[in-house]
Amino acid sequence: MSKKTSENNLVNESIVQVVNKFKMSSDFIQYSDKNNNVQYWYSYFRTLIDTGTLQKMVIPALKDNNWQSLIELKNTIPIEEVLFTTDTNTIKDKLLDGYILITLTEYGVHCLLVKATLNKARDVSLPEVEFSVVGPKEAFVEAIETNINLIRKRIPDEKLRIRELQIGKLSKTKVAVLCIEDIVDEENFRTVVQRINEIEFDQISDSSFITQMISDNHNSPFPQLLDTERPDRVASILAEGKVGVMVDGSPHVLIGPTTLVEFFSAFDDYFYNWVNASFIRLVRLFAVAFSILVTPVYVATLSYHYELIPNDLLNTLVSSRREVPLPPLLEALFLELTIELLREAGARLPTKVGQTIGIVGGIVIGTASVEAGLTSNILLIIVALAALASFTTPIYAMGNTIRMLRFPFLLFAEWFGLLGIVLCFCFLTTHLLRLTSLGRPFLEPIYPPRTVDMKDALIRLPFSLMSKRPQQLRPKDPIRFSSKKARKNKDIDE
Amino acid sequence: MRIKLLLTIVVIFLLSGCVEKEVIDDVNLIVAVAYDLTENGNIRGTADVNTYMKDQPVRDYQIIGESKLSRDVMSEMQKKSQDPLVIGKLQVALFGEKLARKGLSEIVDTLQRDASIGERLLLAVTRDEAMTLLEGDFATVGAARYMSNLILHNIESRDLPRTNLHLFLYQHYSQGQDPFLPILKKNVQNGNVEIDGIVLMDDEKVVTELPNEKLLFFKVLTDQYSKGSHTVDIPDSEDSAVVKSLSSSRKLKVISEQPLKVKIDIKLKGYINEYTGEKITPKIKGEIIQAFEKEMEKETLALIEKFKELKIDPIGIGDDLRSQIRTFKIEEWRERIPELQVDVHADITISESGVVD
Amino acid sequence: MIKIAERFQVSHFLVFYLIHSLQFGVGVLGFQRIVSEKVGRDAWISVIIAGIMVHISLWMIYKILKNSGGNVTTVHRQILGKWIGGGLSACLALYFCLLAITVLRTYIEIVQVWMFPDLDVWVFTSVFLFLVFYIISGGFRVVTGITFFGVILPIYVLFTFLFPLEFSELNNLAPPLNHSLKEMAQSTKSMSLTIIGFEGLLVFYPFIKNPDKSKKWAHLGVAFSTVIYTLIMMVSLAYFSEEQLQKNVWATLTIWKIVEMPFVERFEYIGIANWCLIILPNVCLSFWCATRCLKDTFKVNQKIILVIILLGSFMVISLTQTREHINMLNDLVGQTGFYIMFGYIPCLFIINSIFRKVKGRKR
Repeated sequence: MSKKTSENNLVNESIVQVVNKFKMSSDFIQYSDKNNNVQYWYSYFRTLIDTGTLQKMVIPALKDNNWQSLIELKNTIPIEEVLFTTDTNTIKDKLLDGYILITLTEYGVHCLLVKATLNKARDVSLPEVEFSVVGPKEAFVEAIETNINLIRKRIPDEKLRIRELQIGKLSKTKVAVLCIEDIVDEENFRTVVQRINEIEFDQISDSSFITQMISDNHNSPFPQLLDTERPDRVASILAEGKVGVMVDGSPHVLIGPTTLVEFFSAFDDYFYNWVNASFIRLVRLFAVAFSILVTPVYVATLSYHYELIPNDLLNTLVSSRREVPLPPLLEALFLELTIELLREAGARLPTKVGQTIGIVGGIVIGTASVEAGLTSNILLIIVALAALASFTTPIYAMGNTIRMLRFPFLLFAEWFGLLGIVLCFCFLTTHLLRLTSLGRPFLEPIYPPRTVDMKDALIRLPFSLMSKRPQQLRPKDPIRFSSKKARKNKDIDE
Repeated sequence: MRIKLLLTIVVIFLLSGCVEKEVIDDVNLIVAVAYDLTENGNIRGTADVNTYMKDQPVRDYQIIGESKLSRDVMSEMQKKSQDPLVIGKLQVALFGEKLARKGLSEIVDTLQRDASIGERLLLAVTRDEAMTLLEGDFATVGAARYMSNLILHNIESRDLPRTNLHLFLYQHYSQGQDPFLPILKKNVQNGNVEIDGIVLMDDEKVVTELPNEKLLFFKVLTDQYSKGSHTVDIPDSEDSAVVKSLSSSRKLKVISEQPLKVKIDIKLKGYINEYTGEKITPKIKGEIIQAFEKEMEKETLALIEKFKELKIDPIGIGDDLRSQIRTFKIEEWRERIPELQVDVHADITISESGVVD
Repeated sequence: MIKIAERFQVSHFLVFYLIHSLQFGVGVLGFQRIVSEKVGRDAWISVIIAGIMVHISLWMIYKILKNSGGNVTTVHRQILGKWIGGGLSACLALYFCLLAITVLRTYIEIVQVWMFPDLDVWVFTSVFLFLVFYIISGGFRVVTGITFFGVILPIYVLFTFLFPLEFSELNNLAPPLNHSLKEMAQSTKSMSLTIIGFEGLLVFYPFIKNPDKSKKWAHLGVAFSTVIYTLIMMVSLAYFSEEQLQKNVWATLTIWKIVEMPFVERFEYIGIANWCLIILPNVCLSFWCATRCLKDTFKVNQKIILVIILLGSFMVISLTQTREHINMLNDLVGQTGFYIMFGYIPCLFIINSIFRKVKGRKR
C-alpha cells in the first residue's frame, strides 16, 4: 500500500521539486536568456553533456530568431533526438542521461529535451585476456553503443535481434540481449530475458555481476556463462545459435548456454590450420589435467605408494627429500601457497613494482628454499610447471577455478593416497554432471555423448566438415551451409 | 542444515587419522635379500638396504636377522633398523646352496603372500653363503641393481632361460613342470658376481645343476632363444664357426600314449659371424649346419636322459602332454617320467654369413 | 502406469553403458579361481555359456516390460495384486540393496588386503556413501552420466592385460571340452556373482527414451561384458598353471603385478584405485534401483528412503568384519542372483505372457 502511494507521489512530484533537487549538485547548470521577447531557461548537467554540441548546435538554434514556441524550436534544432514531454520521470531520467532541458518558464512542465550526451569512452583497443597473435585485435569497450556497433558490423543481417533491458535500481544499467532470430532456440532467449528481468540489485558494475545472478548454480566454482572480450568470437558464437548479453559499462560480453569444453578453446584455434589447432587444443587440455593432478599424485606417491616409482627415479626422488623436514603434504602446500601469494601480489602491485617482485619472488625464494632444505627441487619444478599450465586457459574465470581445484585433490591425496584422488575426481565429475548452463547440460558433448558435436570440442575439424550447427542448442535452422557445394569430388587430373 | 552436516563430517575426518603412511624418505627400502641356513637349522636373512644421498652414488648396507621361520626374520631385522623396513622395492632374492638343497617352499610362500612384492622379482641360488654375495663393492649401482641387471641381460641375449618369481611359482605349483633357478657365484680373483649355471629342482629342493656350457641346449628346450651365439666345431677339420643371433622355437608332438612317446622338433635360425678358415662355400655352410644339428640333437637327448634318471621335468613335457592327450592323468606324471621315449629332431637355418664371403 | 518426463529420460544408446556397468563389478577381480575349480582349462567355455544365458534373460525382460506401461512394479501389481505384488517388489529392492552392499564391502576388503591394511572401514564407507547420495540425488541422468564415465575412462585398463602374454603358455587352453556336462553346469552357476546386476533394467525401463531401439544396445552391453570376461579368463588360464590359479584368490590383481611400464612400475595400485571408478556406478545404480522400486510401489519420497537405506547399508558394512562374513555375503547374493535369473525371470515371463493373452482375449 505504501509503495503504491509513494509511486503516486513520484508521479505527482512536481517539476519544482525535481529541479530544486538537482540544483543541490554543483554541476547542474541553469541558464536563462531572452530571444525576441521569448524568455527561455535551459538546464543541464555540465559534466554529462558534450559542450561541442551545446555550443555549436543548441545555443545558435536558441538564439535564432525564428521560434516562438517549443514546437517550433524543436524543428529548428539540428539534432535528431529532441523530445517534447511533460512527464517528470522522463525529465529526470533524460537530464541524468545527458540531455539539455529547455523550458519557457523556470519551473515549466512543458519542455524540450535535447540530446547532447557526452560519449567519453575508451577507444577500441587490444584485447587484454584473449589476445591473439594472428587475427583481429579489436576488443569491446565499456560503452554499449560502441559494442553493439562492433557486432552489427560483423553480422549485417536483419535477423540479428537486440533487446534492451534496464536493471539496477541505482545504476540503471542498460543491458542488451542479442540473438539471431531464425537460428536461436526461443526457449534459450526467453530464459535469459526472464532471468535478467528478475534481477534485484542496486548497483550493477560489471557483466560478471549478471553472470553470478542469473547462473543456474550459485555455489559452483565453475562459471556457467562464457565471457569474452572479442567481437569476432561473439559474432561467431551468435551464428551457432547462442544468446549474448551485453552490459553497459563492461567490456565483457556474456554468452550462453555454454559447455565446459568451450572454456578451453581459444578463438585462436580457428585462425590456424585444423591439424595445428587440434594439437594445440589437446595440449591445452593436457595442461589442465596436468595442472590439477600432478601435485596430488606426487604427494600420494611419496606418502603411500613408493612402489610405483621406477627404480631409476628412486635415487633422485629420495635424495631430493633427504633434507626436507616437512611431510610431503605440507611441503606441497607451502609451495602452492607461495605461488598463490606471488600471483596475488603481482596482480595488486603497480606494473613496474610488480615485475621486480615477480622475479624476486619466483627465482630468489624458490632457489633459496631449495638450498635451505625447506623444499625439494623436484617438487619446486612440479609446482611451477603446474602453475604455468593453469595459465593456459583462455578464459580467466576458469583459470581461477582450476587453480583452486588443486587443493581438494591435495587433501584427498593426503587422506587416501591414489584412492583419494580417484574419489575426489568422482566428486568433481558428479558436480560437473549436475551443473547446467541455462538449463542445458554443462558437460555436452562429452555427456550426453553427441558425436556430431564432437567435431569442435576436444579437437577442431576443418571448416568444410562443420556444415551443421551444434545439436545441443536445438537451433531452428541447423544447416550452416550446403556441404555438397563445399565439397566437390574430382578425379585425378580432371 | 546441510552445511552443519558437512562441517561435522570434515571435522571427524581431520580428527581420525586415516591410513598409515609410508613416506618415502622415512622408510628403509630393502632392495635385495639373502637367505642362508645356519648350523643350528635357523634361517638367516640378510637385507640389503639402499641409502640415497644427494649428488652421490647409491650406497647400501646390510642388516642381518636370524630366526626359525622365514617370516620372523623380517621382524628380527626391524629391531636393528633405524627406520621401518619395507619390502616393496625388492628386486633380487638369493638363497644359499645349503638352504636350496634343504627346501625352498616355505620362503617362497612368504614372498608370495606379501601383497607389496612384485612378480618380476628375480630369484637365484648362490654357491656357499648367499650373504657373501651382498658384501662387496658394486661400483655406483649397488648390489641389487648389479645382480638384477646381470641376470636380466643374460636372459635377454644369452643362454639363461627366462625366470622370475611368477615363472618360478608357475613351475613350482604346476604338476607338469619343475622349477629351475640361476646360480650366482663370487669370483674369488676379482670379487665380481658371475653366473655359474642353473639348478634344477623338484617339488621341494635342488636336485642337480647344469654348467654354463649346457645352458644353450637347455634354453632351446624350455624357452625361445632370441640372441646369443655358439661356436660350432666342424668335424674333420680344425676350423670352427661362430653362429650368432640365434632364434629358436620348439614344438612337442605326442606320438603315442602307451608307450609314452613324443617327438621334439627344434628349429634354430642364425647367421655366421666368425670363421677361422678361408672361405665359406655352400659346401662348408652345409657342413656347419650338419655339425650343429648333430651336436644339438646329441646334447638335448643327453639332457633329457639325465632328467629321466632324476625324475624331474624342468622343460615342461608334462604340461605339453596334458594339453595334447585328453585322458592324461597329471598326478601320475612324476612316476611315469622314466618311461618317456623322446625323439629329437633339429632343423637349423643359417641365413647370412657376414659381409665377406 | 509410470510416465517419466522427457527431461529426466536418457537416450537409448546409453543403455549399453548402464547394463555393462551393472554387470562389471568386483566379481571380475577374483572369479577365475571359483569358475575353474571344477572345470580347469575349460573355464572360458563356462563364461561364454553364462553370457548366453544372460542374453536369454535379457530378451525375456524386454518381452515382460514391453507393453506393461511402466516397470517391474507395475507388472507385479497387475499380475499379483497390490499387496503380494508390493511384497515381491520390496524383496526385489532388498536384493538390489544387498548387491550394492556386497560390491562395496568386497571392494573395501580388496583395498585392505592389497593397499592399506589399516584402513578404517567406516571412514571409507562414509565418504563413499556420501558420494553415492550426491550422485543419486542429482537424478537418473546424473547416475547415467557417472555410468558413462565409469565405462569410458577405465577402458585403458584392458590394455594392461596384454602384458602377461609375455609369460603365458597358450597351450594351457588345450584340450577344450574335456569335462562332463555336470561339471560345466556347476561352474557356470559359480559365475553368477559376476554376471548378475543387469536385472536393474526391470526398474529403469521407463527412463529410456526409445525402449525398442535400446534392445540392440542392451544386448551389446552384455556381449561386451561377456567378451571381456572370456578374454580375462583365457589370459588367466594361459598365464597361470592350473594349480597356481587355484592358489590365487584375486587372480586379476596378481596379473597386474607383472605389468611394468617405463614411468610406473607396479600397476596393481593404479588398477585398484581405478576400480573405485568402476564400482561407483555399480553401487549407485543398485541403490537407485532399490529406492526407485520402493518409491514406485509404496509412493514414498525417494530422497528420504535413500537416506534410510544408505544409513542401514553403512551399518551392515561396518559390521561385516571378517573374510568369512564377506564370503557369506557373496554366496548369498550369488545364489539369489542365480535363482532370480533362472527362476524368477522365466516364471514372470511365462505368467506375464499368459496374463496378456487372457487379458487380450477378454477384450
